[in-house]
Amino acid sequence: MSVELTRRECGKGMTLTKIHDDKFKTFALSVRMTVPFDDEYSPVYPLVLDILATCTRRYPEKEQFSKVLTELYSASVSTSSSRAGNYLLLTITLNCLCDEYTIGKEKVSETAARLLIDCILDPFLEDGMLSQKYMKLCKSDMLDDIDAIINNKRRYASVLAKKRIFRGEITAISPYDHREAVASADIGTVTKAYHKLLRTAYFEIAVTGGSCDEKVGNMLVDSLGALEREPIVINDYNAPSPIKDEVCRDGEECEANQSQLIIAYKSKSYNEYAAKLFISMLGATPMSKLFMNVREKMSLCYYCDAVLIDLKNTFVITSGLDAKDIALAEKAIDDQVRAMQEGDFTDEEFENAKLFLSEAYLSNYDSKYDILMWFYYQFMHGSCDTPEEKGSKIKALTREDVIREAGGYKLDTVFVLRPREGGSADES
Amino acid sequence: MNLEPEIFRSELSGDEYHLYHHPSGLDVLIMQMPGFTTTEALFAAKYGSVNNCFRTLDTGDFIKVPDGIAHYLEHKLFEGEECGVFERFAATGASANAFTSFDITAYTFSASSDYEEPLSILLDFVQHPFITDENVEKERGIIAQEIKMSDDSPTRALFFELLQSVYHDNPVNIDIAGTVESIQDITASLLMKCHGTFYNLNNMVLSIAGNVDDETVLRICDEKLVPSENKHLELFTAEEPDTVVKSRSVISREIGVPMFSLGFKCPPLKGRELLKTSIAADLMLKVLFGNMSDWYRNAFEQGLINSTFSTEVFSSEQGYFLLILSGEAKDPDAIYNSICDKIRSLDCSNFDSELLRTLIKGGYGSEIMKYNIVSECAEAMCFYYTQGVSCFDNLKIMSELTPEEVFETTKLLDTDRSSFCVVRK
Repeated sequence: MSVELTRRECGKGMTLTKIHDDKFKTFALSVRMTVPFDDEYSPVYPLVLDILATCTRRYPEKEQFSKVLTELYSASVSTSSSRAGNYLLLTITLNCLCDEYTIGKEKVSETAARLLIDCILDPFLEDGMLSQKYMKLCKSDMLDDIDAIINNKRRYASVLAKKRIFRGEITAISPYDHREAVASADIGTVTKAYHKLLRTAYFEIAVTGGSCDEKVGNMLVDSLGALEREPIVINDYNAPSPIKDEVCRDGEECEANQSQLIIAYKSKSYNEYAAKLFISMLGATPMSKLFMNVREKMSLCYYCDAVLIDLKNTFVITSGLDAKDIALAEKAIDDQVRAMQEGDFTDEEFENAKLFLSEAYLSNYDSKYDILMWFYYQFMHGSCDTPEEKGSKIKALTREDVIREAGGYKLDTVFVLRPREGGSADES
Repeated sequence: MNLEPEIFRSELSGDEYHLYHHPSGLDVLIMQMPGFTTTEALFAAKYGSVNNCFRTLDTGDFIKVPDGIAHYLEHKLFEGEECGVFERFAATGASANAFTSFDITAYTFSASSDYEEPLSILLDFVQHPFITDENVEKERGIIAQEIKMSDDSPTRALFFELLQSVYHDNPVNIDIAGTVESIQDITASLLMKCHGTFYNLNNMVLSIAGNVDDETVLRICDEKLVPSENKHLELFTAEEPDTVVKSRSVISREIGVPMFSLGFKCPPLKGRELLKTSIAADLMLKVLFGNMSDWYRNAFEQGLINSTFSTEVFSSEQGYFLLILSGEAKDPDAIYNSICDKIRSLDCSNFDSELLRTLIKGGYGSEIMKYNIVSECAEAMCFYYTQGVSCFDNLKIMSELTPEEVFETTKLLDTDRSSFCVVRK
């Protein structure tokens, strides 16, 4: 592959990763800030990030900031927040066209990088506080987002199910639990959270994609490196979820046509490679046992998927179906899990799944975001494997490895979101 | 077989793709993307949910088929006599999928190391259906669940409510998958009739991008394509009045924040004229209502809209052309009044041509960025082909547009030909 990867520590609690591949016409510059989950600031950190991505001291109005980005050939600054074990990952990313593809080879990369730096380090302040106006607007947006979770029944069910699956753990905390903290946050709290984030977060800086000025990553390193910091030390991202003594069975109702069935299994041990292959064979592809049996043979549902919850030793199966078929589907799903645990799969299925996974890994090379996420995932798991290397490890697995891994999983939680009596009404 | 391609090239980005008219009747689009690992292919029939009434030399009179049949057929093509299509792909490591839209049905694969075997399978299974009464029956439950899943989406409910409020007779107002009731009438023989009619290579296209070379793709086409006899397909097009069905409607769902959609019905256009007008109208909507406009700033700061607000041009060669403004709003009526006020106050002299220039520059960047992603390249070639234009026409048209031409499209914002739909609790 033509990818060049470099990674170096560049200060206390800060690394710089560069992934360069000339085939890309764009590059992304990002800072991922990792902080431990805490009750006081975790609800407002995503709000801080959204405010930072809205304006800067130089461009204090959202429209001005948007215009400047559009002038830079539709450059964009976006944010995301996710969790890894008991840590919160907050990322702010600049996406920009490489200079060689602009009209007349106009230099835009350095200007765009400066904008990202200003977002993080030179925001619009009023009396030392972040923008009151944009806090109010971003907060309103965030609350609307939380309220809109119910619009997507599959996501809504997943949020409700996680409360049961990970009862008593940080992973169980949902956006609904943060709603009140977001709604009541004032500009003082938000500004304090901003300063705490800069002071304590572990910074992963990344430049990924096509050619851009060599300075771009270094500008960000120099700017963030000048901060006075007490960064956290990350010991281990793993936060395995304990298996419940008794299977938790619970449910809720909502206005819908279809029920959502969510089943979680947990294990005390975890072999990453064997687990990925097991889940792929069980329910992550159209050749999987769940797809072939619960959907294709029994015609119970449109989707029946299995996904691993990273760092939690847990996998979750989700299916949308008629309420009358829930018991049938639950049994059919359990049968397929048991089939995997008993080694009831052919050599052909086993070899095809290995091929599928190793081929899918290679496709990460074709997206600058995917390849960065790939390596972030490896770093998080203490590895630096390339897609080829990981593919080789998958190919080296034996049937026994998969059977052993599958055998460790026990049923933990069954959650059902059922349609409430009485349907939707239309009026004109 | 030596075929000479038509070459489409973007002088601005350097991207290039080739169109071959294969003797089987199939048009083949190929974009080589040096350095990329994957290959993405779409084998598509110009057959979507709107094509529900047609005739050919075989059928004689026009026949009307049940709603959702194109989508049902898409599901059924994955059956095989000895083993299912997914199992065939599984042995290659490629990932296969399919989708049905209003206008096309496309079968796709994504492959990393080897694309030759997946391409052979793709061309083979789409041309050779294995449809039986038994497997058609089996699919009904699966599709019914897919329909119910879609019905639970308020976004989708709002979109189809808008289409039903705007269009009297254009079948774009029917859900792509049909309804749980309409799919009960679908039979194996009807599916075979639709396959025989629309999956004729003269009505299809292969679009392939990524780590490919023309010679290999054409060799596999030579091996796998069975020449089609032109059956002189004729589609029935209902006369669509200029008016909308209803100017306003409200539907009720359990949702967080009320959602609205305002659609302006525009006269149908075709080919380059449709593309040019769509691009101009898209820019016009962004100048007036986009996130850099004065209107947006006021509406956002007053809390009338949130960041879900967007503008869209929804158009195709199939006779529908709609300008849409949609999003979430706690008070949908207030946002409707605000949009109408803005339209009433339109004046060429205060049309922000500086913002337009910025948007065109940004649009250039967005277009170039698109040719950075293998799947988007394959999809774009296919999409623009079915609309009778080339991928790179966008960039050229955008760079040639004048502020006057863009302002001209404000005439399409005719509130007498608009529908306003709301979803709320």
